[in-house]
Amino acid sequence: MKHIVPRRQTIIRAAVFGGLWGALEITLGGPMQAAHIPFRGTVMTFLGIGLALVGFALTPSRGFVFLCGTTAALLRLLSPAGQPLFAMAAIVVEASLAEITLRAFTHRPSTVALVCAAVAAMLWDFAHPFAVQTLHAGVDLPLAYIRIVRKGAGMLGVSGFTVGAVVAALLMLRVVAGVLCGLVASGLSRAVAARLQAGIPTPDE
Amino acid sequence: MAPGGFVGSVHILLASVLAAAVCRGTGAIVLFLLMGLLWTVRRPCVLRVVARRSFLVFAGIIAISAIIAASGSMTPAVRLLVLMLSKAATVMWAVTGFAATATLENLACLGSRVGIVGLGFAVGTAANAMSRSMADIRDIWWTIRMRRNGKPRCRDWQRMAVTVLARTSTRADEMLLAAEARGLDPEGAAAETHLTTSADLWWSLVAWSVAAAAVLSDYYYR
Repeated sequence: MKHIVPRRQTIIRAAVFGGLWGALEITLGGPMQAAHIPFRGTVMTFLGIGLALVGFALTPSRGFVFLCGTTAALLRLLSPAGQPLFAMAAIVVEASLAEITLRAFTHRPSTVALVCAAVAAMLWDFAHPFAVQTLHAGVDLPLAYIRIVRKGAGMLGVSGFTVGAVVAALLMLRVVAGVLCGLVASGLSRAVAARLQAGIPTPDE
Repeated sequence: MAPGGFVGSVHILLASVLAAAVCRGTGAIVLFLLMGLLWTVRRPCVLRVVARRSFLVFAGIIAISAIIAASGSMTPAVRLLVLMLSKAATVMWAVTGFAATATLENLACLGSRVGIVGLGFAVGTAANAMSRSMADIRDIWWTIRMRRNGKPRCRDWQRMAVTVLARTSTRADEMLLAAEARGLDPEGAAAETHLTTSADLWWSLVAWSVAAAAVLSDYYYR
């Protein structure tokens, strides 16, 4: 698989994969957000970033994942359900984090690079609600949350360690999801490359 | 003054978010009042967003947080609540106003202007490819279902994912050939859209003046 890909091919491939990600965001992400389903961000990041990473592994080039994410974010605007603007911001930030991580691996589509990129994107899913609420109500709100957690832990007789363990578990959930996403993307990209080499794909194969 | 367009909304959003982030005291209330006045003139329907259920729930969370953070004493709790609600309402108005003027074309053009090369072309191509990708997914899903008598196996999901992604990749190559045959240049597309209207300049000026007034009042009346 060659490493340097022409810019035009990168843009068009990123557009088509971004279109697929955008379609998932519209049909799945929007309704999930409107229905307030828990961990919807994790599910959508898994699907979206996974898709972008498969595309990247097939077309390893600089800016692919970022352009793919930005395209999907703009398509998210078409979804009538939920508040699209913050979801769009989350998609762009996640794609940027994945892109920066891939740049650290000099854009070689190795399994380690894909896993690290997926984990980096997943970590934003954990930070996103806090970032949005801080943007809305200022830094006083997260500070108030910390006090609430401390007081609640004191009232329930739960140690600070247990509270920290719950937060760490939520963070670990994202890390595990990220590792899985990277591994799935790596496996799928190999299978797709083999299928493409074998010939034009049809569902009857 | 005319309501203005997308660029005005971008400036109001930036001014609102930055001023809300900087103001820690009286400035937040000044910002809330002046931005409220601005939106009354520019687009009054935006003000209604604070009456939505989602915002009221958020306000309730803020109220509980403020009371607990102030250790139950009323005066600091009310002060904290008013400050946080003022900032939340200001940002919410700006976000809603921005969303009202933001179209795919505007955002793609803005992306191209800030250096995301090919974004305009990518969005157009993606919007075009999206419906066909969805049709592909549906066709592949029904093919697999029919082959398994309506009971797809676990392994079929992987097969479906590989087929969908391979189809997507092939479609991208076809689009590349079509673009090259027509002589389209993805890096130069969407450059002709005019984003700025004459009223936008004045709205941007007003927005940044409001933000400056809020920050100054925050500094002097802390």
